[in-house]
Amino acid sequence: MVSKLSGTQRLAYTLLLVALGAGVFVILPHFLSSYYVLVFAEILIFSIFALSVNLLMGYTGLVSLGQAAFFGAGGYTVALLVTHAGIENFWLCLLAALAVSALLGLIFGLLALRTTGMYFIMLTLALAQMVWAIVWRWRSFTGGDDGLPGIPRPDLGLPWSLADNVSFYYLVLAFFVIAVFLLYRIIRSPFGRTLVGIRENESRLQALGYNTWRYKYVCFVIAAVFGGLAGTLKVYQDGFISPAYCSMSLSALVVLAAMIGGTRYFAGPIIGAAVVWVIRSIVSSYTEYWTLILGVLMVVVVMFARQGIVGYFAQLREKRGIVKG
Amino acid sequence: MESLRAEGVSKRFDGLYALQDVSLTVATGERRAIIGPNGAGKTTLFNLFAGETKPSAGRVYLFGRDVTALPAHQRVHLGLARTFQVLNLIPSLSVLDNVLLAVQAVKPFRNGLLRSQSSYAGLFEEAEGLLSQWGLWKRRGDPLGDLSYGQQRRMELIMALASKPRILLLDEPTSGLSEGAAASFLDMVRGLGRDTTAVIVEHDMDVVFELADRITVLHQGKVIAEGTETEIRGNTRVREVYLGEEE
Repeated sequence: MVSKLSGTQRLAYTLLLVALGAGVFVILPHFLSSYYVLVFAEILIFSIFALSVNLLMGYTGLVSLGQAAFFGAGGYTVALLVTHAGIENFWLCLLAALAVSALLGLIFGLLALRTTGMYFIMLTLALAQMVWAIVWRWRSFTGGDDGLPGIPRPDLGLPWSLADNVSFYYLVLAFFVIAVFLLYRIIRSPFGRTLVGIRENESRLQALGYNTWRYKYVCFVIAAVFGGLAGTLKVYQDGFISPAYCSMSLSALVVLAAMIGGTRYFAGPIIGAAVVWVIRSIVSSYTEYWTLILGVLMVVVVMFARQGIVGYFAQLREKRGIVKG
Repeated sequence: MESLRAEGVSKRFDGLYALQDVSLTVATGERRAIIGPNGAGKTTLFNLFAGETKPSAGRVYLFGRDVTALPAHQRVHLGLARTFQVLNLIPSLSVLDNVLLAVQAVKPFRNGLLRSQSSYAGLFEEAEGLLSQWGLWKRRGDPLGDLSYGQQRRMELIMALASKPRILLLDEPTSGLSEGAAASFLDMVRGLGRDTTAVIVEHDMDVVFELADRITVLHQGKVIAEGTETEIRGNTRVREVYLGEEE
């Protein structure tokens, strides 16, 4: 009975936190200037992105340094459809972007998952660099390093315009909630529990009857789709795309964000993305040395809080609990 | 009725034969021990049965079906399960989570994406049943790594039994166990129904003679004898190459 009671208590506690968090996110834009509303939209977008890379890294133990390939694939699909084909329908563009990301995930996964460990990291990096090289070199189609400008905010046929930053923020928030909901369900599912098993002991999972390769492959493609979703939202926010969307540094930054937040915790990548993008967006407007601050933060995390910010506080609470009990 | 059959199986590593033209048939419900001195090819044969390696020549049959080319994880779904000589569990996950993964492995919903694992009531009941039966239910919440060595050996067997196997491969299951712990482990194996076939690779002769209906003796990659305990004890060739060494 005791464990049941604490279970409901924990549920109530979690719900309260979620409701509070949701409330803050809903009210927030009305207290912020237009610039900060966009910073927050960006944080939500990069949270989705960081969650996608962490499905691979934190849950399956596959460190990918090529996740920006899918971010870029989603973004470029939208940009190309809008600028070249003149397709303005948001849902059509979104669907195409997710499909292209999934397809790219299916192909890259087939290649990268032939290897493990360091070779997997290097292959994901190399494959993403190929995407980057294509958009960089194929100037006539992708605009090269000038990028593709002129992507309008989506028109959902709603009575209000998403050109307004606050309205656009709510669109991003809606997709953030959907992504969090789906990813949370996935990691709690039998499939998600199997991914953790694979991370911890793949050979045992095979001996138990799991086709572990297929689980990793499906996970890779799911991560690609959510990466593509983040890229899609970002291109609509910026109205512009450039090769930076699929750059190596973006791939590295999102891995860093997940690690700073804590890869073993579902909320870790969200917190990490928030911290990293606050530093990037806000600190960088005061000093050009924002990467230095990020570097120091990373060193502190690695030295004093291996499990990231979320992990640090979770362990702190556990310790206090033991002292009390 | 046969459960497991090897037919003219050979395995070469770098030109050397680890197994050479090995044939054996294990009947359904039988307890078969495979023994032999170090380097006799026991582990190689075991891995061929489990599907971890493929033979260089010959065929392996499971319940009369040719499974030579079938990977390990697919053989589980035909009713085969194995334990490992060196503990091969997930120490960082809880005892219950380990068993849940093992039970879930052969369920159709194992690929379920959007429903929480905890919402599958039958899954938990089965895991609880296994852990209660083998006396580890109280430890379900502890990280598996916190269990004693003997308890972890027991977990090896529980994980294998979770898929309700029709044939169980045991790779030196009592290695490293004290006499008392080994005895209680043997009770566990003896407690299995006769609808389960068991193949055991073991060094400990007491364990072998106590458990096995029939014994296959390997020497330098070849079967040199097969029979009951008395037949094996009376076999001069076996005494020469194997028992002689020990005594």
